[in-house]
Amino acid sequence: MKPRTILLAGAAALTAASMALAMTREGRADDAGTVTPDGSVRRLTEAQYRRVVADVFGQDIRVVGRFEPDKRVDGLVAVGSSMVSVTASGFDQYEGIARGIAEQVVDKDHRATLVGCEPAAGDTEGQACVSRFFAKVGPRLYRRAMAPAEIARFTAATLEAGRTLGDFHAGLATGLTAMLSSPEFLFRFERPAANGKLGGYARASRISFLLWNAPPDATLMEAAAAGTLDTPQGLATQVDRLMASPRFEDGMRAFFNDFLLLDDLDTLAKDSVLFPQFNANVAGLLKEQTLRTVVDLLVTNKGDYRDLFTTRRIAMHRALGPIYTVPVAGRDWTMHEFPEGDPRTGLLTHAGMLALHSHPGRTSPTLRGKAIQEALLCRKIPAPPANVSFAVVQDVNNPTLKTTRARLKAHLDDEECATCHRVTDPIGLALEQFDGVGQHRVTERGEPIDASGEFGGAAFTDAVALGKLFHDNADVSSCVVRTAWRYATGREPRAGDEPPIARLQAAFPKVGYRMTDLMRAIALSITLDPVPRAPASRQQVAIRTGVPPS
Amino acid sequence: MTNPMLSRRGFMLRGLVGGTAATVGIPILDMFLNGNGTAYAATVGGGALPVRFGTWFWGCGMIPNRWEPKTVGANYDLPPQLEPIKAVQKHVSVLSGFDVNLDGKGNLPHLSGNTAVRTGAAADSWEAIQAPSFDVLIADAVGNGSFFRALNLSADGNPRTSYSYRNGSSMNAASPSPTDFYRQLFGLDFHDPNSAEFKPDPRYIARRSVLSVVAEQRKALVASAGAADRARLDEYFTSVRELESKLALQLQKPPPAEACVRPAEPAALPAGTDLTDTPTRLGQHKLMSGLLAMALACNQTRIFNMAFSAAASDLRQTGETTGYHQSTHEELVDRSLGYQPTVDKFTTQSMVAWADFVEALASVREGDGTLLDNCLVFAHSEVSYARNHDLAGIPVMIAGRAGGKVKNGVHVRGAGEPISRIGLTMQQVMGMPVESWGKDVMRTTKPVSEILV
Amino acid sequence: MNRLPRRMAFRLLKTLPLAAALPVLIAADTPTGGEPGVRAFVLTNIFFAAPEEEGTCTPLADGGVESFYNSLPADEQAAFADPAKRRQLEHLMKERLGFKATRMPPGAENDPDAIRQAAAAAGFPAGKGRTAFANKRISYDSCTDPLDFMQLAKGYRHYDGKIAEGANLDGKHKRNDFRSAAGEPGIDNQVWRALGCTKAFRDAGDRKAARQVLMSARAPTLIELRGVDDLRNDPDVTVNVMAGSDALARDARGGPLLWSSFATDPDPALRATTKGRIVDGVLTTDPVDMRLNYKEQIIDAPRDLRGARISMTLKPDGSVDGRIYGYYTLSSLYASIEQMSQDGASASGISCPGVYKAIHDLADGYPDRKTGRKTAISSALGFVGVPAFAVPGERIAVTGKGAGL
Repeated sequence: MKPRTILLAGAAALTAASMALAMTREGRADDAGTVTPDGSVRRLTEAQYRRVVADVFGQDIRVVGRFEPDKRVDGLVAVGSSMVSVTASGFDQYEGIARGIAEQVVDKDHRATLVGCEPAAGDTEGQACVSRFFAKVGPRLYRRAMAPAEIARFTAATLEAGRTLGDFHAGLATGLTAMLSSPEFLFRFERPAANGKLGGYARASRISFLLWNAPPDATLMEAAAAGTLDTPQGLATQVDRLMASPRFEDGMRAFFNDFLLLDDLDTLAKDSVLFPQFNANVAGLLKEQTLRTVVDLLVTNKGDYRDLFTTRRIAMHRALGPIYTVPVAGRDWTMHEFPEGDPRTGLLTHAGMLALHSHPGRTSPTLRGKAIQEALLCRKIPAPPANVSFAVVQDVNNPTLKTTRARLKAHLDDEECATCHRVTDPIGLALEQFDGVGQHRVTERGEPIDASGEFGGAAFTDAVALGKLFHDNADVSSCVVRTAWRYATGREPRAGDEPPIARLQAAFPKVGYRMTDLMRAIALSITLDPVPRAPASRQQVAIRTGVPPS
Repeated sequence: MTNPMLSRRGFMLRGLVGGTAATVGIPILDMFLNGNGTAYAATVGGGALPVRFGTWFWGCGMIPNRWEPKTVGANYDLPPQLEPIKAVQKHVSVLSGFDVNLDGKGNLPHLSGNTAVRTGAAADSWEAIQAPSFDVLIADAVGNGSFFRALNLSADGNPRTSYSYRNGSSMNAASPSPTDFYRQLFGLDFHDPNSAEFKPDPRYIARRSVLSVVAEQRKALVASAGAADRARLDEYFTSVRELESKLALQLQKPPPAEACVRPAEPAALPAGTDLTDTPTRLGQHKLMSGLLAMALACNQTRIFNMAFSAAASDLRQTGETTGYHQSTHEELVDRSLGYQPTVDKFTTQSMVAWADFVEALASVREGDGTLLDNCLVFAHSEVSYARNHDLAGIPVMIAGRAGGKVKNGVHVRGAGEPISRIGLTMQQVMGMPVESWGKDVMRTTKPVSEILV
Repeated sequence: MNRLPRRMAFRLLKTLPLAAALPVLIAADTPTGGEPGVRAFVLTNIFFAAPEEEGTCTPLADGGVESFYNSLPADEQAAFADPAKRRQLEHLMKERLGFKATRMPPGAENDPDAIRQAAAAAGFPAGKGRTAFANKRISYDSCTDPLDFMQLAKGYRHYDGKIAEGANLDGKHKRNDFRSAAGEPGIDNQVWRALGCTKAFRDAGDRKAARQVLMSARAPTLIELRGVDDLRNDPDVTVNVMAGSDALARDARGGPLLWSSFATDPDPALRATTKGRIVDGVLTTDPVDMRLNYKEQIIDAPRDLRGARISMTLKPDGSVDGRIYGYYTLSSLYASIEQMSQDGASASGISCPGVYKAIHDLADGYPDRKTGRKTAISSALGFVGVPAFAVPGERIAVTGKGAGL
């Protein structure tokens, strides 16, 4: 091939890219909101990326670099993963992270176990070894079977690099870097099988990422290859196997982490003068606390989801003792039980949840209420209106408004503000007995705090009572079903998805609101998804690309 | 069996393997060509000093009657909130009274205005943003040939604080700290343009050549994807190409850059430092501005975006329960002063940061003048009077003479004209053959001629 | 010969200053958890309480180095008059007076024979010297063997004021008793008389400074009240004084973290129990013998207090401020001085022989049954503390401490 050809090929690629750009440029700003992602191309989240690397190459391989931020859409990073791509600087970072991983894989400490072969006397460039290496790791990194032609391409490129660098292992690292930068590693692709349904490998990935937040393990990959995932019994066997494993806890943690937006605790900052008890270490522990409490109730004890709002059991760590003002013996995590009648009851009173949706210097009933409505009740709160006059919020005649409730009263007096604030503020005001970092208090600036209000037509006196109302509220339990479905599929429900979701919601009470049962039902149902868009005939796709339909 | 990989790259390798510095046989990669594909762009290896374009952002706007100058034209007066820019006033033009017109669309607080300023079209949700921000358009046009197509920075420690995006789902994440930025720019891959020695490193050849295996996967994947996914995949593969170009550039000796001196690595702040504290933020911002100025002087990029604070500014004063943003909505107008005093303080501090940024660019000597002379910087906020989320008269300032194409030190009053006129002007100054820009009511064909030479 | 880094030795009595003054409690001062009727406090500082009295100690007591300097002939004094020459002056003192120091041989820390051999090999006078500097050295100097260097006590002065903190421990009004700041006579605080003109102790005991310092952060003392029905007035509470095994944690402002949980050392020697009563928010207790950890940098010299009674004010913000009045044993008190090591004493302006002589001359309690000599000295220690929880702890290994040869 001559230089000119490269120029043309480059130009062609550039043209195609420009066309795509032109398409987006001409798009109207107001109609794009209706584009629903397929869920069939999903970028790995940072946690999933790390999980794949750990599963394939071992826990001690360090993954270092800055990941392109995950995007949260309608409350879930899982849905956002279907909408993001990789920017130029993002790809730069991915390639850098990949290089770091590859260099460790081939270094002296790891090559014996992770590569396990070398150039031999009759094969000084090590072609056989390279081929074997990619045949081994390729399918695990791509989460599907690989065609011999694909392996051959990576092998050839690797040998080429080895020649350039004059070193077998350096060449292998370079080739592995390319594989770790490939779209089929960075994204989850779901291709249709011959019958138009989801292929075996796609099913394996769906249930594995749902239940373990991890790529399919060897057993699951074998089941996919053998076609057993295409039968209900085969699928159920694998789902039950995955749920019986300790790794199911990882999957549940990942779901609740996304559902409850707990990752934001990692970057939460509070005013150090007003809240000296809070620091980055405490924030991390608060996240861990909520996750452990959820797992203890819903996984270990296969409990009722609704009990999350009324349980007095909470995971406790000594460094969190000061926030909760409870003594904590021992240096590890323990399960602590607050006494009967204690104001700390249920998820809504977890300090992490309370601190997350507050300002750095004080509480925010509106933010807390909004977060709870959106995450736990699946209600969308619209944005504040344009050009709202905030003059109405300040009661000029009485500047000494001691409590937050008093200050927010103006939200409810003005009809324009009240439509939304009537929805958000009462829930948030119920939590006012917990300050900006979630510490309990009974007065604010000397005045007793009134935490009463109304929810779902019933009155409550404080957060404990609100928790009971949440326990009994049908919207709370159906919301988690819907959210779990969206998390599993990575997309918003379309018209055709509503009946299955409704069935799941109807079944939830019948299984005692057990999250384990719900996850099992979802795992079995999402694999029945037909692939949304059928492109050119699958046969043609297979011939053109040499990639077997999965 | 011929190895297609080998023969495609073979000529290049023959020229370079063995460590010779010969550049014979390197194909004229399209990245050196300008839009018409005919001549070298005035970039790397081109000769003339490149013009750099950048944006600077601060959150929560200003108080109009304390920010907008009263006089128009040159030697404009400096109202109280603009006091901090006194020392750099001659480099800065102020553009007031240019509006965002939502034309009935919702005003998502702190988002809609910003989107309209950057994309020329209003949007009331992230997902609804379809068009790229204009800095991305400029980067697409002139960013090739530089090591980095664009550099994005945010002083608040959050990589998500960025108003540079291709669409609502594809945001260009920012480098969130001086240490991170330093490592990206001046770390192991930095080649000092002024060093006499240059030996092309075969590792770049190897890394670049294996990327073609990645690029080859495009056809098959795009063919089996739906429309929305196709666009995402195209974006991904464009990003792959960019890295390939960057690696190719690593094989070329960079032209000398007289002002380029590799700076020392800045010390990292202790973990858990509160970056919402205003003095701390100013410190971080100043450090990053200095590093960015040096990166520009070393020709690492021609496009940059710096965010001093995010929209709905998170700036605070330690010990106060109420930060900048909340104060804009909740602080009463002081009856004797006639304005919100806490808000006023925070705005003024944001202007201090702007002055620091301009100063950082002006203090690097380049050619006959300074780096700032060869820059065009567009500074803006997302609202004017934050209390009401007001989108009329969103504050804009321009700094730098764009190599002589732009006048500085003037105040232009927009009198309600669409703010997309400024975005259009920026694109035209940067040499893009664009006659109109913006959508619907914000579509315009008139640049702001008062700042053009 | 190893030299103690100046930086380390310099502030042995003033350590880890806080960034801010004592915290304001914003949490309710009633904890959520813990046993009902139990309130505990962790002490952030224990110090010799200094009275506020004008016109005393002019001049201040001479430290060992000052005493040595004053003993030099005029021409030598001139050579070392410049404060910049201080290091050379200390060096000269060592040479002239024959101080000795040698590194502790590895593994010899608990082996008296090995220590004696090392000392002899380093030229120590026979039978002299002690381990020092947290068992890392074997030294012979004015702090390890003060009786051999009594000339350095010249220029040492007792506190010359009339007022001191303290209580009337022996119930008597004696000529050498102090008066309290409120005018109460018969105050027994001979340790202040002994130490009160030494600048280091005056500074450490200053009310304001004492609140700013975290002392013994790695092994703080806890005071726990049990059977509390009313924090303002309660005629009968049980008071436990305990040793914490966990370090004091700081909050984001640099102050002590409130409501932390501290495991307590189960060693009975480090635990004292007595009865007390609260009247208008002030707790007073019956006397009891107690041993309080004092671990600060290289010092690990628990304070043995005999017949000690506590007086503690429970403040509205939840913190506490109090005194411990009792007899401080001479051996435990001098151990803390000696463990400073000569370098530490020189840097702090303390004369070990001066202190040694003063506390032995002024000791006024617990006569030895055989010799009749007083073994303890009346004291008033001040303390400040914040709310905490005491939780049961695991048994921890006892480490060896400084020993004689």
